[in-house]
Amino acid sequence: MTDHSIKLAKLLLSGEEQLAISHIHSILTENDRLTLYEDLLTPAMTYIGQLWERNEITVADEHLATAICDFIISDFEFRSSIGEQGNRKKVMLFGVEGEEHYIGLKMAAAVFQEFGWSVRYLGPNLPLRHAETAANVWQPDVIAMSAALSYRLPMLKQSIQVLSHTAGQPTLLIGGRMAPLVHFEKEAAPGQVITMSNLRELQSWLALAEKGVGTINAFS
Amino acid sequence: MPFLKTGLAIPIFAINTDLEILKSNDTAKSVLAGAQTILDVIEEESRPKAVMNLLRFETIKALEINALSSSGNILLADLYVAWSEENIGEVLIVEKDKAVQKVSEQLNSLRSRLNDTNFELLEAKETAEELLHENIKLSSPFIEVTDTIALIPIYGGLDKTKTELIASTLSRRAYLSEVETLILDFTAVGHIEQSGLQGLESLLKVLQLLGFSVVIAGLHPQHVQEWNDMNFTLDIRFMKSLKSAMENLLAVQQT
Repeated sequence: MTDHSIKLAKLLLSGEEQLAISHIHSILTENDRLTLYEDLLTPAMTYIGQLWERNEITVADEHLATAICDFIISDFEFRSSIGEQGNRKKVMLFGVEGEEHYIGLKMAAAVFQEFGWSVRYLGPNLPLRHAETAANVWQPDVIAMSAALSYRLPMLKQSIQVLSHTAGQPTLLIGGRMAPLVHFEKEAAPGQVITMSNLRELQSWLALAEKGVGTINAFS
Repeated sequence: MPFLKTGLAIPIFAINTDLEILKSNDTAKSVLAGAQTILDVIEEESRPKAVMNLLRFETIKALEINALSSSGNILLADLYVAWSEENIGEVLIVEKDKAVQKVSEQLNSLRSRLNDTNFELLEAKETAEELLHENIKLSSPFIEVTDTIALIPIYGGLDKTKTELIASTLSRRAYLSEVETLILDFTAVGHIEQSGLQGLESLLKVLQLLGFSVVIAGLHPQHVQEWNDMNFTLDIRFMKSLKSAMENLLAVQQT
């Protein structure tokens, strides 16, 4: 946890979106998405989670900080030029049914966009049957989903089972706080599931996918 | 412990230092999940926070946690604890005011509406891009009017992207045909951008290299001004209108 992130967390909690943005500009030397997301915003949000555990802030404070964080990401993405549109592989992202945490998902969507993917970001708490319909209609190459809380694991497993059988046999990416705890991928959908513990990992995976190595079905 | 007899609509527990529930009032039994220890009424993700604070055996004022209701729902609540000299902890779990939850639900629905709108805009943008591309492809049809003459009427404004696309389709199409003369008709062309003009110059070069004789017809007065500024070195015939171009070419053919 750096001082930068702690200061940023305080600005998020106080609802000062403009001050938070100028603070970010004072640290970022260039338009570096990964540094902003992985080294500034994510630690700041983790720190906010710790403040709640220490009973120093309430859930309401967390919600405000999340909204400000969301605003910062939208603002950053609006100002960044999107990469080459040549790729056009398709990805659909959503938070599993019941899951309301979505900031990480939104960041992941932006990383896909940077690589020129056609992105459908469906937001948090998407009912599985909607996800299934969307996957069958749009037939994405990759479906990325996330879960932040342990009691979403059964839902995550069910989602993997259902979505692995949708048209186009998409690769399933699992992210979020629960990603490292997902051990059931093999039995649920053999050879189709990859877990991502952070955005840098996603970035390298996408770079490899671009070259057509080190990935599974959609790219082999 | 007299508090257990009160009819207060707040769940109240007595716990020991192992956090086991010794007693609870009626409200606790009806509102919250059935429990052996106080942790059983606290939702999993809130347990570490509760344990950390309870095991200090100090008075706790308003520790925010998620409690589990008797129907299995999650209730955002404040937990209060006071320890007696006999190491008995009195625990109160007070559900939070719904106002925060309401505002947060409203925020969520606003956010999802924004997301939907964003999504619709994205789809509209993609459709518009496809239409534009299709439109450009159709804006320079290749029409063979006689065995040796082809007419290419160009439609709309000209910029870099459009001239590049026209150049690639037109040179291929012309190469595959038997014609010798190409009439590029500018009657339906609107504004020509500088970048479009440069693209046009390279297109004309390609057509001449392929051995075509090129006639430009139907330029507007403002086009002429722009073409003049271009310093054209190419040998191209200009005709006032498509009509005069056709008459001229046909007359030449007949002689």
